[in-house]
Amino acid sequence: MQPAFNSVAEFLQMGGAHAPFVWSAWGITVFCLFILVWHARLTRQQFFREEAARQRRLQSQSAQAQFSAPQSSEHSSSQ
Amino acid sequence: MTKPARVTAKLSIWRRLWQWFLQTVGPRHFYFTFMPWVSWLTGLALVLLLIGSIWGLVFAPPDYLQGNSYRIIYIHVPAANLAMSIYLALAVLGVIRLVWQIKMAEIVARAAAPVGFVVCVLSLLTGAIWGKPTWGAYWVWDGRLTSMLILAFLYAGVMALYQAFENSPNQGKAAAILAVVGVVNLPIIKYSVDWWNTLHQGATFTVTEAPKMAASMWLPLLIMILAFYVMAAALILYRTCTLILQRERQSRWVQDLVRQKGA
Repeated sequence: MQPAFNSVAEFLQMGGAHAPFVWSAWGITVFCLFILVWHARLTRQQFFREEAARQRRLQSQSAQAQFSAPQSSEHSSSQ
Repeated sequence: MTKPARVTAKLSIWRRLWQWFLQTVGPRHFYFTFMPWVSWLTGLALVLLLIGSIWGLVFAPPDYLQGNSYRIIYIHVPAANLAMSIYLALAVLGVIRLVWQIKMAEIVARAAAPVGFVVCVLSLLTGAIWGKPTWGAYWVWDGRLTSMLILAFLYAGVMALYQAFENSPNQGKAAAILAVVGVVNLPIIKYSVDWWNTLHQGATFTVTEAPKMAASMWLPLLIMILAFYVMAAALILYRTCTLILQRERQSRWVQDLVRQKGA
């Protein structure tokens, strides 16, 4: 198989006047595909980050509730 | 008296089969079945994209009329093809959602719609850029281009409806109906180049005839089409799995997953 171009410069110019069209079309495509992948990854990572934070918050809340439950009853009886 | 008993026994077999089917399309089962596929499909898509791009950009010969501008075909045709296929998938999933009330169908459709929209816009943009050196205009109101623009609007509508009814009990019903109704547009897109005199060229690949292009031109195109499909499958499965996690965040298995990730 032979390359269709004789040099890298010729390849970048797409052999003449067509470089802006070919490269802008390919550039837009690469950009859009990149955005799709980036967004998909971001959503998943964000889910795990937020869910882990929520679990920690719930855990500390339940621990506090256990700790403070007898105290509060004592407090109310003294009043 | 024995006859009705036999009938109910038969029914219960079907019902049990149906129950089993419902279990396998349950969100949890879907997640653990398809999440491992994502990395394989992504790898395959990358390899195919690389081969197809280098072959199409560097090794395929220039067109005798269009010169090198035709190399846009290697992204334009795969994008347009994929945009139509994903829309068809949305419609099929919509029917499954509406008739059999299977939630997974809706989740997959929800994940697929934005991917289809982006790919549809891509095909319009690359087509416009290709139109300038070939036809002398970025845009003409011919059948193919106009019906493709309508497809982009349909995608936007479906996405907006999914967004609008995110927390209602009838989630996704409206979007599913729009997806099903909008499917009339697909044959219009497909046959627009045959029905009307148009600037747009006819199909490159048909089932019944050999391609009119040289093999050195259509082989990389075939690889690129395959690459786009594999990539879309990976993306849609990945996005579906994220949506499953978000929906099932209260369930035990998701919380276990979150704990494993944090540790």
